[in-house]
Amino acid sequence: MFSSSQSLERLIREFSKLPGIGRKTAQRLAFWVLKRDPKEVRELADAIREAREKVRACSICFNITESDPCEICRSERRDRSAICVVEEANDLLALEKTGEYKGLYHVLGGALSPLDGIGPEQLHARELIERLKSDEVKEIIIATNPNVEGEATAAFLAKLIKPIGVKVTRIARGLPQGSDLEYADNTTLGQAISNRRDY
Amino acid sequence: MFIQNLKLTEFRNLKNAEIEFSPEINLIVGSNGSGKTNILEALFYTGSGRSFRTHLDENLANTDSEYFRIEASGKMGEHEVHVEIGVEPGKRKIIKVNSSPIHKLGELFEYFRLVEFSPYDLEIVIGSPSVRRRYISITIAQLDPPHVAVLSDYHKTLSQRNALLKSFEETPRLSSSQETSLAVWDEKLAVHAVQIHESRKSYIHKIADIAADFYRRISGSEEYLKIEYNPSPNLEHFTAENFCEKLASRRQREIAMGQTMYGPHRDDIKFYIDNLEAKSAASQGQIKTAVLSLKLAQYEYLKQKLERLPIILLDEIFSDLDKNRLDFVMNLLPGLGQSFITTSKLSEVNNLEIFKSKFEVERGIPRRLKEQS
Ligand SMILES: [Zn+2]
Repeated sequence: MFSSSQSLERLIREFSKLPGIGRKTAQRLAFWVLKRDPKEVRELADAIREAREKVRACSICFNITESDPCEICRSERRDRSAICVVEEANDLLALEKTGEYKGLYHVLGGALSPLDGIGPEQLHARELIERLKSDEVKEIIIATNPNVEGEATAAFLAKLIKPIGVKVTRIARGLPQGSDLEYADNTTLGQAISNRRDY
Repeated sequence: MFIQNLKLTEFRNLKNAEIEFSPEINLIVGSNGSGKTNILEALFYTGSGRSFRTHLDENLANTDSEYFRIEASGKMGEHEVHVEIGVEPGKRKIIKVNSSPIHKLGELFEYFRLVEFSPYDLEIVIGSPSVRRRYISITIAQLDPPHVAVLSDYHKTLSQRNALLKSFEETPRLSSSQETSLAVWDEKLAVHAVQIHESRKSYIHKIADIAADFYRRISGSEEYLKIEYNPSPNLEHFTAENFCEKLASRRQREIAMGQTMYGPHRDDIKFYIDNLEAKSAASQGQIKTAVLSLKLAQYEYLKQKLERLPIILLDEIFSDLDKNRLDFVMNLLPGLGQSFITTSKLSEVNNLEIFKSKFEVERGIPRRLKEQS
């Protein structure tokens, strides 16, 4: 497309790098920005910059946080004998919403998927094993998604953790098969975690 | 069960067609390329989301269109069933039953169960093993819809495992973490492989005798049709442990090839007539009888299991079958449930009175033929 402004062209290019945004949508977004009040646009830009600068991964559990370690890792009220392992930070949020679980978390940053070049080294698996070195942890609850990749990740972690002598459990299969944790409703998810079984 | 109404939009050469069927025997007349077989194909698609002629959905849309839609309404016992299925521009498949979207293909198999017999089916005996695997997968899914999810998990696990093997290509010795990763994918693959193996073994075991009986009755001979499951790997006891052991025995080769060497994706089914393999030794007539027997056995077994009459689709049987085989089928027909039969020429059909509804298709446009005395 012929573009009369270099800065407009740059904005379109940046928008089209966003996930799920094609060239056409990027153009629509860019023209939307041009029609806004400059103050409003500055607020949007600031929000993006601030989020990126302030939000980072917790150095213990890899949850997203503004303070390191995160609030859950620092809390006195959490049960420090249990760690619930999830794929992504939004799975953690979904489990927190149920109010059913009072332990700690560990965010893997994905699931095993050789097709996407994701092996154990690409996940925060080694860091999880490190956390087990303190005698505090008595149980690892694996809450990866109930699909092919999530199940393989669960099996992999169980193989790694069991020889250390820590109890490994898997959240119950009440969840619809093949679905993601983040789409499960609160009650089902709450039941899934209280009805967990030995792996 | 039966399909009462079929609406087609941009499906092959049927750009916009609606047909009301009889719950009994329907005859569809049309020359080659008129679209009569496309109607059978569309009916079959409403039960399985699959065609019996192609495995590519994009071949099903009209050449001028980027999408197609099929709507079928009918009854299963007391229940009204309305299936809407199609592919949208962008190749997304949309399936709705009674207006609610279905996200898993397996659920579609709960509704219309159709058995089809067409000249394409000779491929089941003479074609490549993939044709036979595709046939048995759809057939078992009709009996046991959750089988679709098992197959899908198996194939996902298989692709993941193959990708892992490829990533080891340049690795002379696997690290302990790599060993553990491979063991995990081996075990997951084994669990699904055992499930698929058991379903296939049990299905073939159950229909083999029924098919052999049909073969004798159709051919009027003492020839013996034997259908045999050739599983991969061929193990005395097909357990997950034994399967994993078999994989381990070929590990170096698997890593070199980047391929899983054993599993249901390498299964085959063999057909023998009097102990000679049909693929290489049988006549065209014997092969046709074998396929027809296989399909009738499928129909019979499905009927017993469902306690309902499946729908039967017969393509071009008047020109394709000789008199003996045709008479056999025509005698069976009135006892079967709803059926759809195509023919190129009305003059090929003898006993026109058994057909409750007759249609003619010309260049993608179907119309009902008036009753003649
Ligand atoms: Zn933390």
